[in-house]
Amino acid sequence: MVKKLVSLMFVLCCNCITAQIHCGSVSIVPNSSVNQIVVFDDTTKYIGGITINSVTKLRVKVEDKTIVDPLCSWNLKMFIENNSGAGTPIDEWEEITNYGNGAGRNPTIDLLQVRVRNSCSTSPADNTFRNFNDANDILDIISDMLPITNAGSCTLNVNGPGSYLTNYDEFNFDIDIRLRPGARFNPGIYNLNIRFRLEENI
Amino acid sequence: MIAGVFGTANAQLIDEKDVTVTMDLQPVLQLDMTTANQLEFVFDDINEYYAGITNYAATILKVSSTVSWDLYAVGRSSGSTADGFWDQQIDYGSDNTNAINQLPLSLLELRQSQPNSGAGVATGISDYSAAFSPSQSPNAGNSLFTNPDGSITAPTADDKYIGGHAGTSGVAGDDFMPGGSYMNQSGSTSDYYYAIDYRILPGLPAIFPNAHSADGVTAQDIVTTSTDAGNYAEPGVYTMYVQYVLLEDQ
Repeated sequence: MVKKLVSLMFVLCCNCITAQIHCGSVSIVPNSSVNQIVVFDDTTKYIGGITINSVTKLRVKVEDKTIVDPLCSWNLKMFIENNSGAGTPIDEWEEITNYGNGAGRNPTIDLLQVRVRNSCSTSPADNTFRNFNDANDILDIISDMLPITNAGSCTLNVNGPGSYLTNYDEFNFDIDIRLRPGARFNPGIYNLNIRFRLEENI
Repeated sequence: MIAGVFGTANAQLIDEKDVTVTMDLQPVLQLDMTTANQLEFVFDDINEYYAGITNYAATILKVSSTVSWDLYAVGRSSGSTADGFWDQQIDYGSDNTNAINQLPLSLLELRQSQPNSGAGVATGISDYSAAFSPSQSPNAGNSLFTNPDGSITAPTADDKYIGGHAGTSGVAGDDFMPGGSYMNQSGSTSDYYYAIDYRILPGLPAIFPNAHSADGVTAQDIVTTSTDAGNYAEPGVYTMYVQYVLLEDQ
C-alpha cells in the first residue's frame, strides 16, 4: 500500500514538474486577424508571381512570472488551414468560387510561400521562402525543446523572456508571402489561412 | 490538491494570430499578334501566276492563357460579292463572260511554323503545318478554313485549327492546348508561338487550284465552284481578311 502511494505521488510530481507554467505571459501584439487579397489579372503576374513583404508583423512579448522561473522560454510555429472540414482536399486551397467550368485543378497549398525575417536572423529559416505541402504541415519559426537563448544576444534561436519593446530585432518577425501560380490552375477565388502560434515551452 | 495539480498541467500559455490569404485567379486569354495591317499579293508577272506568291512569317501569333484554349483562323469578307468569297474592290474591265469575280476565300493558304499538338481527335486535316505543295500538284493541306456563310463559327473536328481542336474531352492532347505562355517557353519551338506564312497560287488560267473546303474533301477552285470549265478569275483588286480566334476550350 505504501509502495503504491509513493508511486502515485511520484507520478503526480512528474506531472507537476513537466507541466509547470514557466512564464508569466506570452502574447503576439496585436493578435488581430489580417486578410490579404491577392489578384492575378495579367500574364506577367501569373508567371512572375506576386510578393507581398510584411503582410503582417509578429511582435512577440514573453514575460517572466513575478518570481522568475529560469526555465521560461517559448516557441513559434506556423500552421495552415484550408477548411478541410468542409471537404477541401488536404493539399488544396479552399475554393470560394470558380470562374468558368473549373475543368482543371484547383490551386495546391504548396503554391503559397512564406518567409520570416528579422534583423537578428533569430529563426533558422530566416529570409528563406518555404511552403506547406498540405494542411498537416507545421513550419517552425523558433522550434520548441531548444536550450534557452536569452534576449539581447541577437543570435540564432533567441527564445528567452523578452519583448519587441526592448529587443525589437529579436522579438519582431516580418512575414512575407509569395504566390506564383503559373498557368496551371482553375481561375477562381480561393482562401488559405496561416495560423501563427506562440507557446511557452513546457 | 490533485485537481489543482492537473489544472496546472493544462495551463500552457499560448497566443495566436491569423493571416488569411485570398487569392483571386482571374482568367487570362491573350493573343499577341504582330503583323502588317495589310498583306498585298500583286500578280503582275506570269511567273507569279504559275508559282504563286508567298509571304513568309507575315504574322506572328503569341498566346498567353491561364485556361485551356483553342486557336483557329477563319477567312472572312464583307460579303459584298457573295458570302464566302473575296470582296471585289476594282474590276479591271474584262467583260469576258468567263471572267468571274467570285474568288473563294479558301484560295488563301496558310502554313504554321509549329504543328498542332492538341488535335488528337481531329478527323480531317488537323492544322496548317504541312509544307506548301508544289504549284503543279494541287493540294488541300493548307487552304484556309472558311464558313460557307462567311461567319466566324468555329471549325468542326473535320477542319483545321492552329492549336487545340473541336470538342471538350478534357484529355490533354486530344482537343485543347493547356494553359501557358510563350514568355516562359524554352527551346527553339513552342506551342504558344506560331509564325504564319501566307501563299496565293492562282495558276494559269487563274482558277486557284488549291482552294478547298477546310476538311480537304471538296475542291473550291473557280472551275469547280462555278461549274464551268472555261471560267477564270476576273482581273481586279480583291480584299478579304483572316480572323484569328483564341477561345477557352469549353
